[in-house]
Amino acid sequence: MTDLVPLGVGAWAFIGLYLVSLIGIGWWAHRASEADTLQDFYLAGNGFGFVVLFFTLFATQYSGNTFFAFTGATYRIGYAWILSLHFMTAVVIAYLTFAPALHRLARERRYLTPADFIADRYGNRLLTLLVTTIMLVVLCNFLLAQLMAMGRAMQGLARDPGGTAYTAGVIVLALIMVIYGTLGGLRAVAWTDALQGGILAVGFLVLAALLFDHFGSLGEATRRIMAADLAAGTRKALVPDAARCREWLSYILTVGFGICLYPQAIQRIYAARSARVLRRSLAVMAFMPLPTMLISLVAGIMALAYLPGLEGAAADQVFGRVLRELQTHSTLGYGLVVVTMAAVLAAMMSTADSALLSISSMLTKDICAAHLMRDASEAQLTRVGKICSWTLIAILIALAVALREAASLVELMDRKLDLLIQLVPAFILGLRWRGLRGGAVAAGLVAGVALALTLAFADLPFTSRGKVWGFHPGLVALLPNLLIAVAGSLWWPPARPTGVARR
Amino acid sequence: MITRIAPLLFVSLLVLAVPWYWPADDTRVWLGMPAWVCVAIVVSAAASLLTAVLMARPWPGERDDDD
Repeated sequence: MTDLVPLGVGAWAFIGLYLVSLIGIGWWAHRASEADTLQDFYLAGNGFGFVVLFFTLFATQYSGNTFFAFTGATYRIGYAWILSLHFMTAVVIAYLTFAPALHRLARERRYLTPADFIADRYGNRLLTLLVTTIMLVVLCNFLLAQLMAMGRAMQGLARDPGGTAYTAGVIVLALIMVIYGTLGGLRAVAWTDALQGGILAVGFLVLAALLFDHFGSLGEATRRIMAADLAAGTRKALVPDAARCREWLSYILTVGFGICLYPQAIQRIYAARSARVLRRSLAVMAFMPLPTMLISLVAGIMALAYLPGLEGAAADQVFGRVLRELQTHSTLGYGLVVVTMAAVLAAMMSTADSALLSISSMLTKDICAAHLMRDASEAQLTRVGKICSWTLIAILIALAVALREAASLVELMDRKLDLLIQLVPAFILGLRWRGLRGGAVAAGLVAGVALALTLAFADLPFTSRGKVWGFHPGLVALLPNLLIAVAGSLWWPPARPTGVARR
Repeated sequence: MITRIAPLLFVSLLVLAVPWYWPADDTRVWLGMPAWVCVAIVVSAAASLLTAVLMARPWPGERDDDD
């Protein structure tokens, strides 16, 4: 992104106006709050209608990855990254396996965090603690990655190859996020998501128009890449080989079931006003991968055809190169790139604010209220939640500044999902099979996490680039995890079922 | 009916989605894209449509006055 032409006063004013409007929305959401309770603060009183729920689902699912990492991945592997279209669709399909039952239970039993369901379903404190810990680790990693991406975006906008713009970007954007988040809770986050989702949608359309206007037809780009494939023996436009096909299948299953189990995704299921609203929002969400992923793919393909030569980590920055090409194309191109950049910031902030609020809710409800402040009132706990948000963001800002040059966004995404997918038995199987036992699920979860991390980080003869014959270590580890959970539930001595499992 | 056969339909789409069955030397271009990419997009659109159809039907236990 350091390739961008310097932005003028008007462009900075536009971006500044957008950022200030977020705090305004936060204040508006604060005024609209109905009670000083955790349910109102973290789930907006379970009152989301269709429009807000759809935009908050959209803005949360599509993050900085969509622009940067996915364009970079297309640049590296070519058309095979169309697999991203499949895994983003798989996320919505995966909701079908558990959202109906979970939404009904959440309404009846007033769940606030994902761990509320686990505690209610299994009555097993160890399992509840394990699930909470895994979700917190994953979300902190996720939030850190988003903060770092925000820093890089600001670094690119300011054309500052040093660290000043990066640090300022991380601090300013994180502060704006925590201010509106603590002012209005999930209501503020979802309302800003609606604005951010709108900008994101416009950004995608603008990008598509600019790409075709500047680079020309997709057919010509395809023919160039195919000719390069035939000359160099690569497969960036030709049919992928068997190893890539295995990786493709692995991505569909791992990302599909991993992303739908993000705590903030589960909390949006809780926050829907009704099953009907949730169904309608998810029905529209099922079609969103088509425009978004295809535009991101086209950006990567155009860069591959017309801006060759980037290798390794530089390929992750190819989106910045594309924007520079579009920016210098015409005055209209310059203006439209500013809108796209606002969309990039919106995508990152809308994902990060949801993660921050979700972490805060889990620290407050699952750790403080459950173990440390059992007699605290709802108002006291809400205050604790806000303090948690500020403390956490301060720590993560420091980490984001310290770890400026870290792993690429796709690598970070892969490791998080390897852990999240281990929660499939606890949530999805647990909602569909009454016989599933908490102890067995906990044993399977520990085995699955241990195996996934070993396969991901140990240098074993059958692993390559953190994958096992092209399959994500998390997907491989899910098999013994499921086996232990099912076998253990069949053989474990019976006990009186508790909570929702009784029904 | 559609609810009952949906898992089978999704698995069929999954099998079709990954281009394992395409000849390795295929160089056909459809609508500006490699032919196998076009098929992957059509399969994805079919999966989206099936999901939307399933989401349009009331879920078990959903009440009429839920809204």
